[in-house]
Amino acid sequence: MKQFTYRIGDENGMHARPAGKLATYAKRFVSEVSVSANGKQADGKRLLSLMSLGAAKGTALEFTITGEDEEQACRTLLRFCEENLNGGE
Amino acid sequence: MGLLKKQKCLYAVCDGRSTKLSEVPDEALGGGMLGQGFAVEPEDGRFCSPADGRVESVAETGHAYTICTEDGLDVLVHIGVDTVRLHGEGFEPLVRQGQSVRAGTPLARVDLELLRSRGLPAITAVLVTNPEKIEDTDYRFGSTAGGKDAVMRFRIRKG
Repeated sequence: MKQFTYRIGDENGMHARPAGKLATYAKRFVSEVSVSANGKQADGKRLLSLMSLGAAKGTALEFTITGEDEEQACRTLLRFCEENLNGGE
Repeated sequence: MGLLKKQKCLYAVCDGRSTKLSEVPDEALGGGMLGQGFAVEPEDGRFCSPADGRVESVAETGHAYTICTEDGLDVLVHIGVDTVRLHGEGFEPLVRQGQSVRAGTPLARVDLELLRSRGLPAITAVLVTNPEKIEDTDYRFGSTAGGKDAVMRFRIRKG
C-alpha cells in the first residue's frame, strides 16, 4: 500500500476536467486508487465519485493506492496532481 | 429472439440543438477523453436531467452535475465551456446531492446572456463517463426539447 497527500492549489478545486483526467490516469493501473477528502472517500477511477468529494482549493486529498503496480501508480498520480491541481501557471 | 436487450436513452438537457460531442471547443470534454456522449447548443437557460437516477454531485459553482442512473451509468452534464471561471455567477442549481431525479427534472437555471457577455460558450456536454458499460450507441441530432427528445440511444453491456 502506498499513500500520499496533496493539497489542492488550483482555485477551481477538483472540477470536472481534472477529475476526469485523474480518473483516466488512475484507470491505467490495476491497483485500487482511493481518494479521501472532507471525510468522504472516492473511487479514484470514477469521475463521478471524485467530483462528489466537493474538493475545493485548499482541500487535502489523501491518496491510497493498493495493488501490484502501486509504486508506479503512486509516482504517476503524484505527478498528475503537481501538474494539474497546483494552480500555478 | 426475446434476448434482445432493451434500448435505453439519454434525453436532451435543454431546448436547443443537439450535436456531436466534438462540437464542444474543449479538449477534455469535446475530445472524448472524459467519456462518450453528445452536446446541446442551448436556446433556453432551463436545464434538466437527461435520465432517471440519483444526483451524485453538484459543483459548488453550479455549472456541472453528475447523475448515476438506475443502470449504473455515470452521467456528467457540463454546462458551457470554462464556466468554472464564473464561480457560480449566472448559475442557479435546483437540485442537491443525493436527490432522486427523473429525465426532465430541472437541474439548474442558467443566465445564457451572462455567459455570452463573458465570451464563454454555452454549449453543454452530456457524457457517459463509464462508456465501457454501453454498446450499440446511436444518436439523433437536430432541434431538441429538453427532457423530451432522446438524443443518444444505446444498450447496456452485460457483465
